[in-house]
Amino acid sequence: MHKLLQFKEILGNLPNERIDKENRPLVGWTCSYLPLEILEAAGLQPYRILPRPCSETADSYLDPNFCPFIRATLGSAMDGEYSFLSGMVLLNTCDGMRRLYDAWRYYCPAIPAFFLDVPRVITPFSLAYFREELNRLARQIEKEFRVILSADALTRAIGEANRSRALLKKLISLRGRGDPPLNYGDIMDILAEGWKNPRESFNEALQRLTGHLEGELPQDSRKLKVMVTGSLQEGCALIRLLEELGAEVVGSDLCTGERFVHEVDSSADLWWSLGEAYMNKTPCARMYDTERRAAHIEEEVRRSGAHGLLYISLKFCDPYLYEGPTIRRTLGQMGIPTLFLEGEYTGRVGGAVRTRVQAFLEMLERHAIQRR
Amino acid sequence: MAREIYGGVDIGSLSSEAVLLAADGIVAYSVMNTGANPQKAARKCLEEALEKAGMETTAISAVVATGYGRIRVPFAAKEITEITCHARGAHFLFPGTRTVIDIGGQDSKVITLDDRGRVTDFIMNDKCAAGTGRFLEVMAAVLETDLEEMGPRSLKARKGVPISSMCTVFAESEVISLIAEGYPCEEIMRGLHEAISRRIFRMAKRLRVRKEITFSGGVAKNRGIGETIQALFGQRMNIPQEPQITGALGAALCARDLVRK
Amino acid sequence: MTRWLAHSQITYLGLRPVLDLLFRKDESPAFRIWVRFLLDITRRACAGKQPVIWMNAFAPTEIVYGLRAVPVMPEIIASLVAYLGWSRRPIALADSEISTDLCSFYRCALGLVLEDYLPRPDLILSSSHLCDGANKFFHSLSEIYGCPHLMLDPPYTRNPHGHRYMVSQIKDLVVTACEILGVPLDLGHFASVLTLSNEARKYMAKVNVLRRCKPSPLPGRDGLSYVAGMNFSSLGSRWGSRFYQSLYHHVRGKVARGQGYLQREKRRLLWLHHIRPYYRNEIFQILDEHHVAVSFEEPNFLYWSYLEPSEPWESLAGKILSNVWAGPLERRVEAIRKMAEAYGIDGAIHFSHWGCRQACGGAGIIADDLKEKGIPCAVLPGDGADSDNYSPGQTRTRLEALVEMLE
Repeated sequence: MHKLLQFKEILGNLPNERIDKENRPLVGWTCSYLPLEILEAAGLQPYRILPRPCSETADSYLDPNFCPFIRATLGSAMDGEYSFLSGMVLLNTCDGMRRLYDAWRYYCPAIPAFFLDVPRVITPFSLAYFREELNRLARQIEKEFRVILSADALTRAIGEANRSRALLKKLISLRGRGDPPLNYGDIMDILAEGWKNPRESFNEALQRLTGHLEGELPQDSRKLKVMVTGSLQEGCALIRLLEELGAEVVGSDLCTGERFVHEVDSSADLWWSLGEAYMNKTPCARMYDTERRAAHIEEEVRRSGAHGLLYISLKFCDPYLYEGPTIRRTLGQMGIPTLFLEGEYTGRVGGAVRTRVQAFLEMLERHAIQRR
Repeated sequence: MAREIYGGVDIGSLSSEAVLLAADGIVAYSVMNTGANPQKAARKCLEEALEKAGMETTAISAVVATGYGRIRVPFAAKEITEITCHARGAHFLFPGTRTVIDIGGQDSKVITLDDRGRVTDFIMNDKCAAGTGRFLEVMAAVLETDLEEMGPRSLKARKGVPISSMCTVFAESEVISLIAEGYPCEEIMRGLHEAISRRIFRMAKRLRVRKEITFSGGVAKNRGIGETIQALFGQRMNIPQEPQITGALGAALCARDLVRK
Repeated sequence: MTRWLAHSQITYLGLRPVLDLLFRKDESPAFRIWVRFLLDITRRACAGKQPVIWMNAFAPTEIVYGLRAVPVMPEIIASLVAYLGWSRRPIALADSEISTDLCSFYRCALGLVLEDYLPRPDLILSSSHLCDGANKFFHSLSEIYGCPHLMLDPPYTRNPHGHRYMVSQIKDLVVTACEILGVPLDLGHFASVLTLSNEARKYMAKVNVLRRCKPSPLPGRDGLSYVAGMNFSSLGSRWGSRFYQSLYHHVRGKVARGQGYLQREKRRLLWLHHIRPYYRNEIFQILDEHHVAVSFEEPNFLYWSYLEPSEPWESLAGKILSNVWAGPLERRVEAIRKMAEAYGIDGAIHFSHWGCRQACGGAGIIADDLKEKGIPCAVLPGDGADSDNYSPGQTRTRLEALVEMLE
């Protein structure tokens, strides 16, 4: 928490203008497969949608047995909480998102919605198609907001985004440094700040923070290491819970975590480079290639020396629910136990979840002692 | 000349009601627990109403059965759903009714109707206890108070403690925690009433709610819920004197229609 | 023992005369063709002489028949198992592996797979355009059986780029399938498969037109079972063409005699969603009792046009991309409007199958749209394959309330 305050202080002290709706219209987004560079190049300010976990309104309009995040998003929009948005970009990532796009157009027509198709497979054909899709989105945005998205603007936006990615990677590598040490919860909080601020200010603040931290010595930790994988959760309550219970979170590929894109090559075809980089990023369970995701998690677990994996799935989330057994089996072959938690979008951690997580850590402790 | 009497029985999973209707209005009615045997309950209920009216079974021209147990009433001329019956009953009591909100022991429903009392649309919640009388029952037990006290006591609090759990079982745990944390019971009660009312409000908004709204079902006796829902809709609702018998009344009206056809 | 029986050709050879005898009195010869078709493809899948390809309902079967392979369709098998009242056990087994919030057809199929009751695949083929469950379930099967999974990923956007992408995917998939199975790519055979599919389609269209007549000649309960079953599994085969011809003659006869499937038809309903509960239930009995006919059902809506035999990849791409249940909801809404008008319906039921987010998420908008046109639409929550999820009282109330609204 301390690091976040430090970060916010740095942000606040920067001589940068705050987001002003008159200058930069706010456009909502939900999925990390969207190249934000497109919005930024069009002079728009991306605004990450992370609604309150309340969904009563939407239950009647979608279906109660629907992703809680999607219900909360629609509910908040119908309650008028996103009236400040000038647009909303939704992606064809899953059944729920498709229906959200439909419901949005029927029930929140005041906020124009854009839809980007994202292939589930990564092949030369799909990358070519995705390139055209990104173009199509850009043309729609140009038309709606009456702007021209120039190659120069896109190059600049890509450059700035590349900078963010490099700085975030650096920040993560500095985990454990500082007094008190930078922990994963802090990193999640800092990431969250990134979605509320103009990128330039965010990068500047990150630069300064990482500068401070580089000078500090890394702390040795004998804690249990836990990797986190999964879809979405309000805030990072489970990560904080793990830390509170004495474990060290060594990585997370939640939607709000390290879904990182490699550096985008802006020397070649910009649209191709963007598409290729985003398609090849840290995989989400909605992609066809389960093996790729399993291999990624396996690699991360190996690299970080994690003792266990926490698998978080939203209720009714078909991709994450179906892939659970495969991931568990893959890690099982490495001798790494997985705790599977299926729940609501809410960040409030109740007694039932706490008990499970604690029991899991106790089990990991016993395993670790046996191995020593 | 003997007057024509029509009977309506509403056999719910928890409570059963019977209404005897004549040309000049309701002659008698009865309310009792259904118990384990819906067939027996239907008969007993009707007999009780007849007793109150000082009449014999032979006085009734026709009986219509409604409610969950309606298919097990052998002496009913017809079985009609509680949706249609609640609409008829509410419309009879308050002819301006165009929306009915009915919160019973185990389900809740919202019905829209036209100027003749015919159903145009409906939405039901019969899968989830939250938003029904059962929710209040469970909470009353946790708060160690009588169910009838919940409403008036909830109105005493200036504000309610927000209850975030969607599910009755988890809400129960939440209330226990809140009591342990020292929140005043009245504030918790108010929070619970607000939670139910919001649920109902959201459900109702799914339909094109038009006034007047009539509030029926056992839970309509709870002033706390009534006040909160009215505040959410921004308008007063019609609340029958005996809100539990609306279904049976509607059934009796349907019985009358059958005979007159 | 049962497992051996399930995998043995003899079982299916032996069952044929038995079932023929059983269904001799059945008034629809088309139904008997369905039974024979099922026995035939299952037998051939066990025989091992042809490649066995598992598919989902919306992947085009023309590809499988074009490869001279035999299709196995786990979703249809799950519905049959549910019909026989045997689905509880495989579902319970699957529930120990995956969440109970997922589609019961996939859970039932998974249970059967885990107990190895089904003919093992040489290849798994699916298309992702309708639901996530299909992608993920079929992909997990490739892990279990250790065989390749090829997936078509139809684009959402139907512009020239999308179309090109679709065509390239189909071509690529067929070429890869040929490599994997070690069979030659026979364009001539593909052409004949498409011709058969067109023939079936021709009669399908005729049947659909006949069903506009009053009273309804074909029960919706059948439309949702074996007619939809053939729609999903037989197009491109001789069975498919034979079936629809037979069905056409049967329905034409009914219409000529003015025979509805109900003694007295007071109202006509449209059933929305591709499935119904297949285990024993009272839904259609209740509707019959109230003289309410289910005159048409969504899965049999004919959304694709003639397939050009000399251009198989283009044609099949076109077929997939015309699917009204993929893409924006407007397509589905438009199709339902057409059905509502064509079949002269008074009301609609949207069967909201548990775990089916792609369909149920649109139910509200569809119901609103129908209501605006004065057609009441009741959303009926339920479960297609898991009998434990069936609530008789609640189902009856909703159906009867809808019927009362139509009076």
